[in-house]
Amino acid sequence: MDENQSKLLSRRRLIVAGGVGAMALTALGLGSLRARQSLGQITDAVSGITVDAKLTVVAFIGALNGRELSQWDVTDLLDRLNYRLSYDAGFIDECAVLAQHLENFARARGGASFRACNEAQKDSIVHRIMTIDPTSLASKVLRRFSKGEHDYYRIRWSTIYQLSWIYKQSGVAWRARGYTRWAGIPGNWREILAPGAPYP
Amino acid sequence: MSGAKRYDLVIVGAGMAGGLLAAEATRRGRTVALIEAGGRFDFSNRMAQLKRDQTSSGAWPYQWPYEIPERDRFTDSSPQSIGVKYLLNMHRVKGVGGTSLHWGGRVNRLLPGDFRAASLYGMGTDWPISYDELEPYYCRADWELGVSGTHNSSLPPRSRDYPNPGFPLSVDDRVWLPVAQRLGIAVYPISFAINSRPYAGRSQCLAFAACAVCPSGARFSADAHVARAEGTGLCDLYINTVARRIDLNASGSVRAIQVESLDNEQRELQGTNYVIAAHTIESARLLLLSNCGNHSDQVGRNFMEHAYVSAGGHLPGRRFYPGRVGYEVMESLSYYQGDDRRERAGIKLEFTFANDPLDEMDQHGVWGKALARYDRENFGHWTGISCETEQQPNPGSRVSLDPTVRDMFGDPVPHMNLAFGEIDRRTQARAGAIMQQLLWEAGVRDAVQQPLSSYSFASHHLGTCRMSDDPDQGVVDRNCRVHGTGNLFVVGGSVFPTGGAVQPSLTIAALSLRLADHLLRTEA
Repeated sequence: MDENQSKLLSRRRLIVAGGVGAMALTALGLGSLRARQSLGQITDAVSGITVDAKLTVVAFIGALNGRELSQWDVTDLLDRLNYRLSYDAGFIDECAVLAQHLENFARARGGASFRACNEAQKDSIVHRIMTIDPTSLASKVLRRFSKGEHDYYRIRWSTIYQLSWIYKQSGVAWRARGYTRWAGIPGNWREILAPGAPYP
Repeated sequence: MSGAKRYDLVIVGAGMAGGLLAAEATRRGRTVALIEAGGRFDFSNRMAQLKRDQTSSGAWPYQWPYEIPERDRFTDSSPQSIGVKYLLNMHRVKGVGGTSLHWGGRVNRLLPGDFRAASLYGMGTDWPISYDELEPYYCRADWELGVSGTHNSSLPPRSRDYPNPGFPLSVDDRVWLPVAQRLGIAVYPISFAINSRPYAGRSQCLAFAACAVCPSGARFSADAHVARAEGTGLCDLYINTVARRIDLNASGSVRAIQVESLDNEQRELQGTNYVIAAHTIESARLLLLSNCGNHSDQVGRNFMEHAYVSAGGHLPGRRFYPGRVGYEVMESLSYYQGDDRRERAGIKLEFTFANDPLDEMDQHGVWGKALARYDRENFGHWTGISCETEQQPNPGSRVSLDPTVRDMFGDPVPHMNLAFGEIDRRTQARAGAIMQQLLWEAGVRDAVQQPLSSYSFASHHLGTCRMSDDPDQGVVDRNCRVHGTGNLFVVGGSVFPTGGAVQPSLTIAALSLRLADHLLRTEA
């Protein structure tokens, strides 16, 4: 084994170890998360947003993309959302505002919370948000005076776009397409020489 | 003021050009001061870098978060010239390694005809040096960067093989092969400065599909050469330090370079020779700020980019697998020259890119279950082609100083005005027509060409200090020496008289190695 191969194997070990470590940390994080479910209103020390609010946002990402999220999916998306919030303070407020409006919409439809809504209710809320037209004259005028209109504008113009990006890059999106590996997971470049898996 | 040490070479910029030059000079026993406006990234943390990239809407401040608004501000009148903003800070990185930190690793040589565009095609200008003069340095650059390539008769002649085997055509590329053959289009696998096998202490490609960050380190970036220079003990690296002025003496020689760190420590760095390799924009700006080399009002002019023209559509019955590795491997130079070459400039075809149906949420008004259905029906069935187009040198396309806006040191910021001429617009229109024909031949019936946007550019900054034997037509001579000075040199994309339609990094590396030879030879 030459030096380069040795370094390569070491790097792979490092990556595998890193992956295992990350899974362990995720598991620990989930355990801790479950313990905090009842304390959902407590503000997360790291990001300044409640865990409930983040889970609501994750549930919204699923509904926005027409996916029923498994526990694995929730973990993956929550991890990515947390990471984004850890370095972008401006996005914390965007997510908190979105979560608040989602809960309001849910209550208006008879639900206890957005996450507790059934599929039809969630679809209705997603439709309500996605049909906000931030370019309309009414929106332009109203958002000068109304915080609610300003929130809608920001949600539709910015937050949706950011959340869509997070989803698009996630393992959830790629797994739904039949991929077993996606950007960020190492493998063998020679796999480009053969067809991949079909869409499930 | 501090810093009485005198160096053999003072280099401004620790990117591709400056990094290679510093490594070569120190290898030959010379002392070097290397000045870098940005910082040094922690490469042990590339996975975090990747995660940041993946969660940040692809926004540039997050991929390599170098930007300090007070240092990196600029103004831009490109919207008045070309209709879109030029997002300068997205197209560069300040830091050890420079913009090579976020490049895709594609390497191409300019074609021999690119060096004689005026003579052959009646447009642009000729370089004062020929392809043959640069060819040995292209070979050396291949080996310095660790290029993985396969020689092909479409490509310019070469005198030495690649250091690493090339990446073969992917299964996606092969969908296009019969179409290309039917139309007589010669294609070739692209060369990459990405290791196809372990090379120079770096891993082989581990297919992270995230080349802009490259967590494995398989893709070359110039920080490797900076580290090599530092490792000799002969290179002092000044990071987070901005070169503010070049001091010339009465005889036209540089006496010193005045620098200032982000925490406002001022220094004067002195050497035998001085090389400005601060990327195309900042190299021109430093010369303008210092009133160097601008006796014929050439500094900052002829700023060129490569505008990408792209089109695509659905290809029924064929399946692509986008996103698996992150790069595509097939290109063609068949339209680089051609019968109409005196009417338009060079065009390079790049196959193939894919759209993502999830991006079309707003365009098609689909979300929820409808979006999931749309994704299932469309993902992997859409294909596109891009054309990298050559921009002609144009004095009105320029970088100048904006005295109304100042940076953190009180110096005027760069003002961008990227402008197209008639030939550029004809070239882009021809590229659009070529792609429509190719897509139709392939069976695409709903081809759509993407409009020019702020994201259509290749981040290839060229011109502004162009090379010419005539001091009235250029800023540097054939050896990259600034006209009218004795020991001041500029190297990088800024000295390109014309830009061709290929990625410029290998040419930048080759010019840097050639300058190293020149400096060390003349010094001897």
